[in-house]
Amino acid sequence: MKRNKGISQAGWMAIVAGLIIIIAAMGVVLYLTLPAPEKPTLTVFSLWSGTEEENFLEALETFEEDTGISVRHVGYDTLELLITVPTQLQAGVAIADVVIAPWPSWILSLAGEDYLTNVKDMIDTTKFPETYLDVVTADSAIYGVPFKVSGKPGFWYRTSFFTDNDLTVPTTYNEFETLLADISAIDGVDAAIASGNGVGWPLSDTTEAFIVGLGGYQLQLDLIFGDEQFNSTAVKDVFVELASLLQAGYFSVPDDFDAQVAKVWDGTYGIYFQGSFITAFEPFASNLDDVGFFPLPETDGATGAVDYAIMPALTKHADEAQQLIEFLASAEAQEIMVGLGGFAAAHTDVPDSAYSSIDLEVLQFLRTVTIVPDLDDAIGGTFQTTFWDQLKALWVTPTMDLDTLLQTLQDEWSAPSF
Amino acid sequence: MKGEPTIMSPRQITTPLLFLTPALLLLTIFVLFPVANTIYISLLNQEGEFVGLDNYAEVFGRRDFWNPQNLMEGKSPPYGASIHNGIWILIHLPLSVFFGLLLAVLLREVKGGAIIKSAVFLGMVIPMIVGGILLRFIYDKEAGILNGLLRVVGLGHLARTWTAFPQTILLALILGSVWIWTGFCMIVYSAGLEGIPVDLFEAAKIDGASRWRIFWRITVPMLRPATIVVVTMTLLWELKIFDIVWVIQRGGPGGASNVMALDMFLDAFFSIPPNFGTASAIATILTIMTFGFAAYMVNRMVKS
Repeated sequence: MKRNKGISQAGWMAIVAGLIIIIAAMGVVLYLTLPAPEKPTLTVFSLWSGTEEENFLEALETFEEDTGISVRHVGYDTLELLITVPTQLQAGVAIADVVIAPWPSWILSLAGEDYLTNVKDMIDTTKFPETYLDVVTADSAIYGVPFKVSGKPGFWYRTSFFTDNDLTVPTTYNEFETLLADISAIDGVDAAIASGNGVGWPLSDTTEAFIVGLGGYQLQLDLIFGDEQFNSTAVKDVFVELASLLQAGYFSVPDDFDAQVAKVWDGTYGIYFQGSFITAFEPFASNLDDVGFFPLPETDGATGAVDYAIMPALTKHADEAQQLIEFLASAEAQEIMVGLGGFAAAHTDVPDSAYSSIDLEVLQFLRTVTIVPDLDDAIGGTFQTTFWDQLKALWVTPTMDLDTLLQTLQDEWSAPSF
Repeated sequence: MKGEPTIMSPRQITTPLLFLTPALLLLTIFVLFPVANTIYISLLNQEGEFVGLDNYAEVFGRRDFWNPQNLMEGKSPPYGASIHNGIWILIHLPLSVFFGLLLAVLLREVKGGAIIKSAVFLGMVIPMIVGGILLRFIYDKEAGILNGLLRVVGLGHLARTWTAFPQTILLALILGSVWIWTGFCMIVYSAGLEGIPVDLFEAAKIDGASRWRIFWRITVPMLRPATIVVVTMTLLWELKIFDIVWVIQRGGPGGASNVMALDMFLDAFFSIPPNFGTASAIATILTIMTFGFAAYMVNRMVKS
């Protein structure tokens, strides 16, 4: 019988071992001869898309040129960002090196879990209004850098639409009601006021304008901090008035925020309550000479939201992320952002000359009233989603039971973290 | 010999165990442990203290989970997430099963039926989130095909964004999801139909049975295993429905389209601090319901 003259088992093992040694040696050589790693690409999460995203990326060009660090931006919608970041951090992963968000309670809740880096030493705290920093401060540590501010000054409109239809900007609440009736009577107008939807924040901004305008800015503050109940007479009075305007058909059925911008421009709707960022949206952005705004008459306050840049503690690029945080906190970065329209700077060194005339007009109005935090951003949590959801229902069924609505809001209220 | 116990050799015992071990290990890690852990968490409060069944009591005490009052008074939703799931089952299950069976039977003998089946099955192939976005467009006042059809037939005054109103959103979602799910029912029934011996139909025809009689006396009974699969899978899908609801109105407006899975999600990821206790309680309730249904249906399937 012939013996098999193939390679023996030991021979095979020697071949395999030899191959492993060769591959390992090649790996070592390759590693040693590799060029030094380039600077990492930072990932930034924010709520911006479209024009806002383009403007942000434009502002970042200076940072990228100066530092050689490139930045990848990922825009989320509100609820996605609210969920994505905490979920990733709970899982021990920080996909984003920097996150920009306007929710102080949310930021402090993340800080409370030790997910965020204290940025106090990265910024000159004397260059920001104290109120901006207080709401993101816990145990003397600051967890958010105020990057930009969006005021919610009032109702936006095309000045040519007002001129063509002999409409005048109201200075009293009665004149405001007359204006709504006049706009509604114009041929081709579906409703006097456009209602933005999305997840619901445009409706909450509008509602807050009525809370502040009819109930006073102190009412908004009291609601945030629990010194006033949502089911109180003061709040109900505001909602009764709002519901009466809804029942009169002055507000449109809610539709996507972007779609409503275009419909205000084409005259489907007359006015649109929005934040100052609307001037960064087309077709407003290209036609600022034809854009005007007016506050809810007789208001003594306005809501303002600050976009904070936060830095997850788990970021793999802490040094580079710190550089970006420092850049975003600088007057230079904020001046660039302001110049692109739609926002005010948080940094006090940014001069008025950096603003467009309409943005400066907004800024000057905001300086005449008391700025209060956004109600649902400040309280956060399930209150925020419930507030949005209840308002969506109110907008399409204005005859709904307001007591139940307000009790639902009260049930969901919880003390803000700051 | 009859009656004598069979003694298995050690090899006969260890070999199946060896093959079962990887699957059992994976099941333990990825199914049994998470289920047990979820049940455990459902008994804890936000501070991690044991609170017994308090989370369950809290969940059932909430208007957004259980609110039959509006239903009793004949008002529009919200009726609470659990009732919405129930309504979903009551409407969606029979419609999906009916249309799935109807299409499977009708398209079996139609030339080009396979192409039509593929088109119907598209609803099932696309991600549910995309399906939800499509439904948003379908029901949109301006761009929607439904309102377009209403205008064509002279009912333009009824046009509205059907998903924007508490009165209509739940029904709009349920009917829309029938389109999405019918493809699945149709495919299972089509496979079932292929398994029925042709002789039976031919014999019935020779005996002079009408098509209707053949359908009721042969097709439907012979499709019983397929029906059990369809009903089981549809029920489970309805109980854990989430994506379509989320993408269209996030359970709104005013909670009118809220469902249990969404309620669980909101508790876990939107509460500050996260309320994993109540979220786990809802998850446990869902698990018990789905497991109960599935066990019952599988038992019936085995028997049949």
